[in-house]
Amino acid sequence: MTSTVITAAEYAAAARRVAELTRDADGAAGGTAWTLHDADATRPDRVYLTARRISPAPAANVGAGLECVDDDLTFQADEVDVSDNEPARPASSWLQWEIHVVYHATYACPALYFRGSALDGRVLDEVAAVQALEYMRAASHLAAPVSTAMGPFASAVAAGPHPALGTPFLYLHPCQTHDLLAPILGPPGFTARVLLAWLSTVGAVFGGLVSTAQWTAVKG
Amino acid sequence: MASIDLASPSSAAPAPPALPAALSRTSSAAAVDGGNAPALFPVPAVDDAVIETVFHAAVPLAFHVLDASGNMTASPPLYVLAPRQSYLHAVFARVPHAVAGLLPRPSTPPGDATGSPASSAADLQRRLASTSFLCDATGTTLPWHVPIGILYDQYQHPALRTHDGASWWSPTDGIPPWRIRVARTTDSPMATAFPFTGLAQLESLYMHAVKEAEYMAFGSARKVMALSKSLSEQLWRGVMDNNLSQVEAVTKDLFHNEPVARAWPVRVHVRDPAGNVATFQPLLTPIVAPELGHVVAAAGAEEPDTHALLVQGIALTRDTPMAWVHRHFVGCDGWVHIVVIMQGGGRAVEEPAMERTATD
Repeated sequence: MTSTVITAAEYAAAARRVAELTRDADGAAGGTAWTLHDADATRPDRVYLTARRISPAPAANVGAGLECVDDDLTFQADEVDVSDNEPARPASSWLQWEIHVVYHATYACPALYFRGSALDGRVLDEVAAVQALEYMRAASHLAAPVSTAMGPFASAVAAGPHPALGTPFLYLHPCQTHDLLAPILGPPGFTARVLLAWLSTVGAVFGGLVSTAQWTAVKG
Repeated sequence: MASIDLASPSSAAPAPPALPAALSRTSSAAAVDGGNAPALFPVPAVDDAVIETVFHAAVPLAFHVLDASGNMTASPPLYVLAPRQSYLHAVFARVPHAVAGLLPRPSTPPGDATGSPASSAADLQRRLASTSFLCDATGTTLPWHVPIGILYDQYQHPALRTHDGASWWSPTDGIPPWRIRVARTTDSPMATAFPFTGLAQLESLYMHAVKEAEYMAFGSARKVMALSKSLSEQLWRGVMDNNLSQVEAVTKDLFHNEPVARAWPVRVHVRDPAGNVATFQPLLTPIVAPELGHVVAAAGAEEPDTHALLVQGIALTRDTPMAWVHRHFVGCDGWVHIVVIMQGGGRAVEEPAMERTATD
């Protein structure tokens, strides 16, 4: 069986390819445009992708669990892309997510880091973020809960330092990623296609991060 | 309490001479290196005195509270001898009566620097959540999730002090307390990517670090995942109380009952001459990296450029065996944190307001 140890260099190459492929994604077709962050060519483990998503906030948690304001996350309400079929919602009932795909050196695999905030930039704490993810999960009919609120490791969501930025973020724990990738990893190893396949699985909690068009555009 | 002189490099815990003569073979074990044939390497003899000394080491801190305008208040600083293994907010939480009068309530209007003392544990938690800490010398916001000892080595260790470019300091200089400014989160110069919300969050982050360390060392986190609620709580309480027996009762089984098989659980924090700190986490097996020098070289810190290698605040040499370092200097979170100070990274020392002795 092909080893599922993914090197930082393999991951970085795949991340760059995904950024190229998704550059023109418009979001409306369900695809996500990923921005590549590659400041240091000598550190492939520091390469990461970022994207933003908007989701409706659980009604009971609007305004709760919101902490300091971060200017980088301030978002204009009129930029919210609301389907014509959705009833109008006040700005306070939307959340925005900053999603990062990074290389996790310990588990030698990609990992999904994120932080959620209200449109005015106030960051969700861990409890509020997990509640919001559960709300999205329930809406997307995913079977497995994000958190069972039992013990320190029952939740798939953890807090830890961002591997490239060093500041604490929330992340989906990658300890099962190798089991997830094992059936699809084969020659020629960890490619953009594998990265998108992984994203299509873990990204389901955000309502999907890979469109059909992006998937078919990947060649090996 | 055992004491350790963090100031003097000459008091660094003695490292055994180079492999293999000095290490007694109390036992040996097999290690697998990336699919190669198993190899044997010696497990070092354990020196409990070193472990206890390192665990109980503390650093002197002086907390200066800022008012809403960011200026020092007239309140005298709060002096604390903080365990290296603890965290800034956790240290504050242990002196609620002294601190509560210093920290403003989160809802206190601007210009009102202080509020009444905390009336409950919940009130204290709310005040702590609105508090951030800045290094007085650099103005840098100190990350709340990093143990105090590591922060100290990065920002305030005596190895950073130079006298006209010559090597560091004399033991007669003494160690001044590390001055830390206490500010409200919204007033801190650096926006927090993920705000501190309470000690429960810190505990969660700590336990995940322990889990990650076990996976790094052994390729599996099953022991940490199998910890009972009472044992994980005991471990965290031991860290907060600086209680070695409580911590070791858990970590010995997690990290030291078998030799590291997958990779050293090590993080290298390299401080460049400009004062910036970059963290590396090389994936190095014990076979590839038997000595400390191999680990720091993998992080790009070559010998001629390195001013000091600090582990738990103690300067070590590059030929120190990693097995010995891991057994004796591993942190409560299961990681060996190495702070590398690059040449030119020192700063001119402020002459202390005291008379030097005739021996200087």
